[in-house]
Amino acid sequence: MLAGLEAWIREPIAVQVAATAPGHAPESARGFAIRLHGESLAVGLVDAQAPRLLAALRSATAVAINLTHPLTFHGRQFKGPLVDLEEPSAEAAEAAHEYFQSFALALAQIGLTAEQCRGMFKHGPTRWVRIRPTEMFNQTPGPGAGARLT
Amino acid sequence: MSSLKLDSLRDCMEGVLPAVIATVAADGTPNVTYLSKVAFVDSQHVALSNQFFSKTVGNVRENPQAQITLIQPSTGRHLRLDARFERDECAGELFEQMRAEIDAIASLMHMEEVFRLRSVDVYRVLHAEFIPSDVDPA
Repeated sequence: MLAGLEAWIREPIAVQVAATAPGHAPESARGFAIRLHGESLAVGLVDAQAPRLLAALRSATAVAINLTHPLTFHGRQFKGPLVDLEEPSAEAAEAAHEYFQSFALALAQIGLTAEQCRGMFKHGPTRWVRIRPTEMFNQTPGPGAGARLT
Repeated sequence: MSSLKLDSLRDCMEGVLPAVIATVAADGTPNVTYLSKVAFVDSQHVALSNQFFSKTVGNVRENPQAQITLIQPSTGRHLRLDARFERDECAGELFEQMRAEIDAIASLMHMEEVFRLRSVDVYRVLHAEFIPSDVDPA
């Protein structure tokens, strides 16, 4: 399912992660950085921005990750079980910082200044959340949006 | 944490970056997708454009809980709204106003053929807060 994504995720793809909290309440946060590890997909989460999502992930049975290109709107949503919620690491924080710099440059192409992007990010402890996608959906705007691809 | 007042957050509904909505299906599976337009309705409600997010629409009719994330255009800060689906509208002033805005967005994106407003979905906002960021006061 993840085959063919490696080149795409090297671009500054927007990342959004969601999980289900007790009481079937949705929790979501922006992710920073994407990694593929075989059949698993990992994204970085900044602890300070996602305390509620992190709490939900600790008891979640399913996770959704939306990857959408901010310039082309080409999008995919992956759903599957949580494989790992790692401890914060310097490597994850560095990856998130690098990703954000690249993402802000992409947004500059649609007219956003660095000042208009700065509030998206918060430097600090960052960790990888890793899922094993079992379903993939089309998220590109249009009549096929939401269609299951695998 | 106390909730921010929706009336003071209208600028967050006027940016170029799309908002996000997360929902949960009856079986507990989460879904997260982007929105074309979020509009201020009154001090307790926002309206979302529904063109093609059928999974979201299905989910909130089974489980009305939703989380909407908006981006403040001047700073990039993310505003999180915990909300509850109340109703959809397929005609009337709110629908026509939203349709005009969606038509304008579609034109900018050169997607006039694929952006067609089906309904305006109205949500009650239960809680609003900004997500911590690098631009927060020290």
